[in-house]
Amino acid sequence: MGRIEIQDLSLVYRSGREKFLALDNINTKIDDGEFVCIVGSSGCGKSTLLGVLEGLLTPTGGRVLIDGKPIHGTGPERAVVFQQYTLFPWMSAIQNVVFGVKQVRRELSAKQLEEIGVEFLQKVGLKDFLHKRPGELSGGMQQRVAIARALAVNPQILLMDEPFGAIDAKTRLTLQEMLLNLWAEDAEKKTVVFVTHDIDEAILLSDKILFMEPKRISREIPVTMPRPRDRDSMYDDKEFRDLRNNLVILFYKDIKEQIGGEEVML
Amino acid sequence: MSAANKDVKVGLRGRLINLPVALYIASVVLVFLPSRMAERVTMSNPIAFIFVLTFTLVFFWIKLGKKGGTQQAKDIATVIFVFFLLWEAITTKLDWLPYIFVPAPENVFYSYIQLWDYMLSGLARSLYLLLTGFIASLVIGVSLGIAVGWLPRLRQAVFPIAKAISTVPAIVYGPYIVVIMPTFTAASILVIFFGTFWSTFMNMINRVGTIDARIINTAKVLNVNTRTMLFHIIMPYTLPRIINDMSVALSISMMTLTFAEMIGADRGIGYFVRRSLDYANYTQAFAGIFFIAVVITVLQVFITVLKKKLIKWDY
Repeated sequence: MGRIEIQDLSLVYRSGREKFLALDNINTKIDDGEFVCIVGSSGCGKSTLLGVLEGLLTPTGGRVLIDGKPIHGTGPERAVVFQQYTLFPWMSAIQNVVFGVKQVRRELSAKQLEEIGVEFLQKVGLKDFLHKRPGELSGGMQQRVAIARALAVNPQILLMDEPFGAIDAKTRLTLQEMLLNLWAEDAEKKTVVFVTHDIDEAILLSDKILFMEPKRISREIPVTMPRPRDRDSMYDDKEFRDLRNNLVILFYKDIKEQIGGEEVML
Repeated sequence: MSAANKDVKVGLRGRLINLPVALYIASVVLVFLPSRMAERVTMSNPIAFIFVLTFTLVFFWIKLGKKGGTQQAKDIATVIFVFFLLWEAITTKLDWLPYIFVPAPENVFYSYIQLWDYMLSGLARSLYLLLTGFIASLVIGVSLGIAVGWLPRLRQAVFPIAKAISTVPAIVYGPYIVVIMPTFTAASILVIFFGTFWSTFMNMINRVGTIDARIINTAKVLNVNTRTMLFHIIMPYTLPRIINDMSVALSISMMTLTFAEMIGADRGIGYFVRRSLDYANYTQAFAGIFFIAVVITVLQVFITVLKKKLIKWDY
């Protein structure tokens, strides 16, 4: 459960009489339990594509199927982690986590909800911070709560829009590892679609990288390095270095096109 | 050199601690000095004035006992005592101003002892009008504002209209409301209601329209229904600003109330001032004005306390 099919998807932004084509006829499939990273330079449409998967944006053409059924708007089978500042600041960590569960499982008692909240905050290493408000937590801790909130609704698909983009480098490494462990420990693995512009992050995390050039997916690059992946030895791995080089070249070409073919230093 | 500087500072501070106390003693002594007015006007009992002076001193002593803001408390006390001292000296001792128009402080404060039951019943009446109109305006303005603000087409249609109407102060059509409403009470409440309704309503529409998209999107992907979105997301998100606007709205309501009481009341704190002025009893008018200031200040303090209790997350 959690297979995504994107068929002939296109999206045009309209503002007044102006039109802007953000996504141009995208076709791809993401398998059940697959960890996919969408990579591309800024403005290429990767966040727009994720917005369609989230159900926050309505495509102007084509459709998205989940397990064969077309999606309309948001749904409980999908959970989202945004970049930052999306916890509700008036709620404590546990209230934030429980809030999402409450919306889709009305039958649960307050005690059951609290148990779920504690369980998932424990999973992200925050069991000592249950009753702290977001304002009292660091950026990294806030993202941990956001991940706990997304996982607590037990979704089949986890959509992540540059979740570690605003986190300092050291904390980012810890969070990447935590996310991988949480994903790997599930008996029935969740499908993850993870948007990033960090090449190393994409290779470390994913089974497959979707490289976006403006408006479309231009490459689908499988990452076959064995799991669990170890960051320290990864940098010596030939596959890692080849992948990284390829992606850097793709990025470089993309940037060159955007600024009109002139030579740039990378 | 620096040690000497330090000594000067400490010395200055030591003197400042004593300044309000010294001024308090000077004020009390001044009250009991022979007065040039005594031959013309029957002096009232200075007990109320002495009480006010003592109360001020004790109040700021308690403030001084707490950490932080002690210098400010001292300075405020100093300003208040200098004001009382000058007032007492100019009116009763020096006789510089016409005593009929500028009453002496002991007479002003003695009014409270003479008229306390009358003033309290007026206060009860005024608070009833004020709070009914104010709370109705707040509740209806906020809920309608949230509803209208949430629907983009309705928001775009209603906002310019509300903005145009809100430019007309309620006191302009106040007399008309008094004419068409069956009782004066209902009319006053309605005038107070309209005094703040449009601005509350408009602020709320604006606020909901400009709410952080990340918060709304997060709520949407958590599959909230419209009711939860309005009451569990938008409402708490906008609460800090609602309470901030409350203090401004309260001042406007007080103004509208005073206006309403000036056109047709038979009791109330605004009415008290108007009637005193009508009878050229400036002593009582002064007493009424001080009274209104104290009442508004207490209500504003109440709003501040409410904000601290309710909003623990927005600093």
